Amino acid sequence: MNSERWALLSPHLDRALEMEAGERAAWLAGLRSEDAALAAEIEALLAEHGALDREGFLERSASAGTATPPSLAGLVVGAYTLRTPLGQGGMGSVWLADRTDGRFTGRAAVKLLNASLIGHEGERRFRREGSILARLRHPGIARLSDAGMSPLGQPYIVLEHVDGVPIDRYCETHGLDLEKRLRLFLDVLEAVAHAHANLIVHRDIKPQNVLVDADGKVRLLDFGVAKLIDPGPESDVTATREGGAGLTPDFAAPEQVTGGDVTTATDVYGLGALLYLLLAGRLPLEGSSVTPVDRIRAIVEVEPPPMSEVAGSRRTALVGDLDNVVAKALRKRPEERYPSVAAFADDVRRYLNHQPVSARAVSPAYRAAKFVRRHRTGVALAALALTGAVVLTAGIAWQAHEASRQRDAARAQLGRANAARDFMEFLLSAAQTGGAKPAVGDLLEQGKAVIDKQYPADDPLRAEMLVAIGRQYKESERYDQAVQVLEEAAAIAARSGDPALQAQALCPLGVAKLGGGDVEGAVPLIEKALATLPDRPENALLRAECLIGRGQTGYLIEDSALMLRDGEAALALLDRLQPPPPVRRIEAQALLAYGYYLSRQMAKADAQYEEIASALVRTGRDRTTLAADTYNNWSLVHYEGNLSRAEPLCRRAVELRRAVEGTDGIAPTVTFNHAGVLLQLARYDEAEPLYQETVRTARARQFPLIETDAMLELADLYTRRGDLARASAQLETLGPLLTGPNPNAFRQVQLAYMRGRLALARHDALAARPLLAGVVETFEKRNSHLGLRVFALLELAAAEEETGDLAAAAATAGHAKEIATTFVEKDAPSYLIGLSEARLAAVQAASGDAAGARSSWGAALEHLKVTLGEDHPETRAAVEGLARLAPERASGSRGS
Amino acid sequence: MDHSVAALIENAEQGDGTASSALFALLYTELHRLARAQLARSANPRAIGTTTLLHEAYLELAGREAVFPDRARFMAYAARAMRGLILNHARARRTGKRGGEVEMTPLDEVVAAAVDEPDLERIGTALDDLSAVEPRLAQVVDLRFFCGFTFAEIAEMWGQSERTVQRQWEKARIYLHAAIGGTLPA
Repeated sequence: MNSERWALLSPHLDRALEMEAGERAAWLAGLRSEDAALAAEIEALLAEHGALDREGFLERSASAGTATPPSLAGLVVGAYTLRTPLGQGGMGSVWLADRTDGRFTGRAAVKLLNASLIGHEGERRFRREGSILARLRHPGIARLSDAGMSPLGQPYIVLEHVDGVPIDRYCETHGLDLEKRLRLFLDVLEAVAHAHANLIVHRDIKPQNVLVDADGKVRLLDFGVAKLIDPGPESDVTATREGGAGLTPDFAAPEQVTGGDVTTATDVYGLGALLYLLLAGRLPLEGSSVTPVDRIRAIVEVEPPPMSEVAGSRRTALVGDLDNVVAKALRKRPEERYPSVAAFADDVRRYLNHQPVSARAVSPAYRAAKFVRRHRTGVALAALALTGAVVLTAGIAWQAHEASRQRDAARAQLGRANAARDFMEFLLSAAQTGGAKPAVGDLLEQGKAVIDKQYPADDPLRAEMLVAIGRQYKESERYDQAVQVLEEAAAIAARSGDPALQAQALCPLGVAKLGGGDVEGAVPLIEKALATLPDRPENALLRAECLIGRGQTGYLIEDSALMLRDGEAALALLDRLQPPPPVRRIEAQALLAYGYYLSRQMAKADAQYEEIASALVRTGRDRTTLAADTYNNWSLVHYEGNLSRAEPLCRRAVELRRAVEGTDGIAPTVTFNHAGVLLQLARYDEAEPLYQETVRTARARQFPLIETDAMLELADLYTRRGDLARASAQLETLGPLLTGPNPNAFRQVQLAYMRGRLALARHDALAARPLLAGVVETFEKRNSHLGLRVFALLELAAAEEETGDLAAAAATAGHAKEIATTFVEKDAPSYLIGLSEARLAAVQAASGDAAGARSSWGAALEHLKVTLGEDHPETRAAVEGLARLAPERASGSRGS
Repeated sequence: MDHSVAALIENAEQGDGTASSALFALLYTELHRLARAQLARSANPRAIGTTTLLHEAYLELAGREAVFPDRARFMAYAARAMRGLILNHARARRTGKRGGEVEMTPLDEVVAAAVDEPDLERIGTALDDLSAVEPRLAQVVDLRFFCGFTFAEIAEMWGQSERTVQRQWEKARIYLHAAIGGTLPA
């Protein structure tokens, strides 16, 4: 169905669909007399319409719930045939199966895993891990005999079938006493210790995986299976691990929910939780949470009550040693737990033998100390813990003192906090990485809890503390929480009638709203703060902060005038302070730099970024994400002009991101930008892996647009490198992607450009020309400011030249130069101008205009030498082009 | 660039390709995130409908945005993103490639229940063509087929009569069937 036909049919269909059947027949008859073919077509479509109705085409919504899955009984999986379902769990369904390959007989449990293995590599890993697990032999462990893929591609494992009941139920139904429970648990520990000795960690210890058979023997299931389907570190920790991979949060160790290393200590924790359940009759963290998020948080934060406090009848037996033993297994920090399952077992045996155990009670002082220490783990910069200590040790100290002293301490603390605030905020904001966020959030939530407890609702001091917390939330990009906390602070401030306090709350509130995308809500708040705050020396810092906040709206609405004005004003205020606060100064300078960039004052933008970079170094902040982003933005200043300048800046941004974010998976934008520069610089061997990395990380982080962009540019890279078959294959894979599930007009234009370019590389100028002309037309219509617009023109000029249309080629190349000139400041070197001059020169040379060509080659060289370097193929081509003209020089000059 | 949804919608409607990419990416990510969040908190992930997801995305984004063009336009874009999400899942299921995900998502369930997956992909392609010719028709398919809205809901959203919406749906269906190689003369 093409669109012209449809456009013709469409209005008739509209009419026909409006009519009743009888009316329609008469109308069709009329139409038939005018245009028989059209009428026949409409009639056919209407007949089809009836059929579609009857068969319910598209009637079943793609999202209208689901059918019951077909029974899998009878399905042959490896050597086994599925018989009856045994259960359904987070990891998948389990089936009782018979061996039916004729070689042996027997029963087994077949577990169909809810896992999609990613490609062949994933399948290989799965089989490899499976064969490792299959080597695990112990009477207390149900054997895994096979791991493979069903014909439908579903991964499965075959386990020894165990007829038993979960250990907790066994203990209850058999009425086991404390000693029998502990002895049974020792069997569990022995089996786990055996696996650990073989370097296999269970990862998912829970009663359902610890069965006791009719003979009273312990049998552990699913050893290491959790790892088989582990999605890997790149997945969303809470959602996947909790919901998908079937991990049981009730028994999960803190490191499993925070994405830490899973080790034998993880099993020690799971075993501790299991023992807690067996002895106390309830879960360690039972009742401490309602939502899954709470549950996750509880695992990381909440100390379970001693078993003896919750155990009812067994209470007295548990007080003391057993409380201590279980608590030691359940420590939040892996290194504080029993160093091994054997050591755990040792203590259980010592208890049974009435010997002293190694585990010690936890003192309140220890808990308090740990409270701060705990938050150090998982935080990117050690310095962050320092700021945590400033806020939180203060909180603990306050709790220990009486009310009046609390106030004094708090005031002193506040003074310190104010002095340190600039520094703290910087550390927090600069320390932000994906992994560090939860830790910062924990910190702030605790801080808020302390404030709630310590300060009455209308206390101005409460407002100030809330502001401090709110600002931290803002810096860690938790805008919802920031807005919530700051609104409370603003309300208290409004009641207090103190304009300084009000401004202190309103400015960060405005900026927090801004962060959440609420520009309209943000600006009036900041304006109000500025209006209420008298312009006096003691208010200089606050006013500067408000101005910076307002200026930052410019990033979102691309208002360069606003950014420049507020940036200047803020900087002037800040420089009156002794010493000027460095972070605010950098923020103000960044406003100026970006404002210059937006208004195409590239030289000024460049100078400003240079100043920021040296300020970052001076203040020891040159290895932070802030620094990385500074370099990234700085490179943009040169992106459409001097690539030799842009390249080291991009490189630095990537290096810094790697240093802060780790080597696997940094922000794909940064690698993409660097790869783009390297591509233009013809440094293909460096660009290629960066593009591939970008594709990977963009895919993992679900940035589909960057992913397709990187793939498109890879095709460009192959074309330029002369690897045309590969380029063509790359475009083939991209074609359906761009027209299929997420078509995008801009990417389709890019695709057309790449196809045109490829055709040109194959010297098929006739095919290339219309493609490129279409691309150019699209860009012209939108007056795009992208380098790609110039490239499309240059390629079109080349296609026109190759088809012999030299006049058109000259005009197109000239137009390219014109556009490229608007991208940079007057007389600034630009590789796009250089390439345009070179193309123009080639056309001029082909048309016999030697003088024109000479002048154009010269201009091209001036630009290209600086921006792409002497060794760049385009620079060399220009040198050669000029050299070829040389013999004609004499005759050329004689003629003129 | 202004990344508020309101501004993105506005710019996208003025033909700004970058804005529509950004808009799509934003909604796509948001919906994906919500789908996963839903899964994490629901005892029975199968019960999740895409309609709920869309409403939630709307509430969430609308809550963040002071000014918002209107719900109908938001839904049109979000439904388009939802189509992308469903088709991506369908394709991923077919090829067995899923970027780092292991869990069965609600979308897998819904995709499994709908039409043949290759058909689904062709419908997606046809819809792209259709949205170039008669965007309203493509939108009605996005909302009804991919998101499960009823005619009444769509009519309410668009301020049109239910009958009009139904006509548009029927017409779109004729187009799609012809386009995916139904028995119509092509």
